[in-house]
Amino acid sequence: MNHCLNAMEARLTDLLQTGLDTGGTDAGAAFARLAEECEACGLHTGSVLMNRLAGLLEARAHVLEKEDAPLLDALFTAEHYIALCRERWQELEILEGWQEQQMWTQDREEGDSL
Amino acid sequence: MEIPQALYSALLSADEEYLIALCNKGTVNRAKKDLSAAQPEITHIEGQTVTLTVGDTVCTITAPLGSSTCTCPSSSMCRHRMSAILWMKEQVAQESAPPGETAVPSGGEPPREVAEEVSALLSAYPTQVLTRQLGQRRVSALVQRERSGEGAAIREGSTVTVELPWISATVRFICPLEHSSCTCHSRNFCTHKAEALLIWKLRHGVVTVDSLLAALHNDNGSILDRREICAAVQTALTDWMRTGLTRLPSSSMETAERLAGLCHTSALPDLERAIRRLHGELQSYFARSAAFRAEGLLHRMSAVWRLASALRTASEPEALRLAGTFRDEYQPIGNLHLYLLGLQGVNLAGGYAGTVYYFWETQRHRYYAYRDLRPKFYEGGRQPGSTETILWELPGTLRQARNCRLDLTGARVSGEGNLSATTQCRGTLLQKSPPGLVLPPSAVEEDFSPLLPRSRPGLGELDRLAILRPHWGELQEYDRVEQRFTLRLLDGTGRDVWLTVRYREGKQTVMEALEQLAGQWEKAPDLRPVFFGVLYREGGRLCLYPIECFTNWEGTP
Repeated sequence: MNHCLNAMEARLTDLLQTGLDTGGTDAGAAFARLAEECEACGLHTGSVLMNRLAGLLEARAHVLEKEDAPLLDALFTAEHYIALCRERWQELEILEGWQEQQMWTQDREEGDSL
Repeated sequence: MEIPQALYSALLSADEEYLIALCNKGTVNRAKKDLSAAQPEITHIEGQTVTLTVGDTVCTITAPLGSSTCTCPSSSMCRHRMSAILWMKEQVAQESAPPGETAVPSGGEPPREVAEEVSALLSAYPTQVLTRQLGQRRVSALVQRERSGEGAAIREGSTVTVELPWISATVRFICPLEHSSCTCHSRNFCTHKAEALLIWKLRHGVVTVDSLLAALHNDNGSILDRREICAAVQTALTDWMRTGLTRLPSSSMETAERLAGLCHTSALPDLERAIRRLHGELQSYFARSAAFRAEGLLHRMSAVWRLASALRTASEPEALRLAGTFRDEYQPIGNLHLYLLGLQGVNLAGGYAGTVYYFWETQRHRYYAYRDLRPKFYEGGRQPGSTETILWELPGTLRQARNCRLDLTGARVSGEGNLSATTQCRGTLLQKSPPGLVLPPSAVEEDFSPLLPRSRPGLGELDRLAILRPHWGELQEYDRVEQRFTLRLLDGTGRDVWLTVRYREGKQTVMEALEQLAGQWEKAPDLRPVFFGVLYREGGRLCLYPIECFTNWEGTP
């Protein structure tokens, strides 16, 4: 999951670096690939957001009058989603660490009693 | 095929200078080069527009030429559109040339009527709009420069080119004005365009310096509507996102500052704060700071966009809540029974330094703080916080009341739990007591599992305060790279919290005291010290920044 979040964040940051006018078309295809990866990682909302971004970027390339507000809405929603996922991921990592530590302590205590 | 009359005239009157003003010289040259490789082809003509294929793209050329469109991703004048315009211009020139003569590309003197039209447009532009956009400070600086003769360089022809050497910007005005360009790449009427236009007006006597200053003095300004400001903020962000960080002009910092100012005057403090944080990120980017991260900038932009979006669509009561408050207002809370648990010296990046005092309220069972912070920027070499004021008519300073009970009558508290220094509040200093006898056992965490939700990043400092009594501690090796002291605190079931102090000026004594404590604890495992600090998360760890450490919690402090 963390790998997927990193990939999404990196792609969004690339788009910020290059700009929609230059990097928009390439980013569309990359977001579509990321949508599949997200689905495989269990990030369903992430997949929906990536698909939405891919669709909007693809459509942007074929319109004469660029209306970017919905695209930016989707882009910043995706950024917010990544931040929330990271927060949750961090929490899970701490809990996982605590569980491992508890198991290790239990094993040691059992070993001592034997 | 017959080219529509309006487009025909527009093509005939557009000289190279005009085409450069539509985009830039590089794009015009690139378009010329492209034309030598492949010729555009007219596919159809409808009304006042001509559709052509240029390579893989389809361009729709119309009058005015700046309104032409293309299927490529670029939202500004691209090389495809320019190729199409240049090619059509060539066809039109050949058609209009007398029979037997070859068409000569337009150059030299521009048509007089074009120059007059631009001048008329520039003269008619309302001066008040320009002065309001620039603000008093910039208008005064502009007037000063004009008086000293160090002003802008103006060239006039089919376009009016104004060079602003003090900000390295060149503005090219064309007809219609909305298609004018600026080297900052902004497609809006940016501050450079406003400045350039005001200079042109001054030079042509459309306005005089005296009338300008008088108008500026009398203009009280108009408070813009919340929705207009939010729209302006979103337009700026859209522009930046279209352009991309690598080509973003440094003037975007000025734009952010101007937008923050607008939010301030229109009572949108939370949006102002968000934009100021974004401005800080931009400053860091343009200063090539090693600490700059594009992810951070994206995060700031996202926060601004989402807040502006919510404010734009919110109803009046909801907008009032979203707008936030400039200063946290202190509300009367009645009597408080406090215990001064700890204090720490702080030196904030925002330019304030001083001491924060942390209190435990014995009846409400919650934390309060008093922040004695002073600005560093006014004090020169003086150490902030060196003179401590005596609050609430207490017999001594707060530092002297450490580990003492004190009762406050008529106390005032902010929403975040910060105490006011108001003179309406009276304090009574009571006896010194060990914290273990004042704080209930429930306030001391021996099991670390409830600490995790209290360490969420969005929570305020007082919500993240915690008192920990670990079962055991493991001193980690001092991190010489990060210059960090770390003590791993464990509860009875092995859950850990990492107490971390990074070496900084003034923190040496804290680190020495903690090292000494770790040594004592190793020798006497029954010591059971108590740590009071602020919880936070770092990587996959739950951490504690220590404020106080007690080795005799129930005994004499």
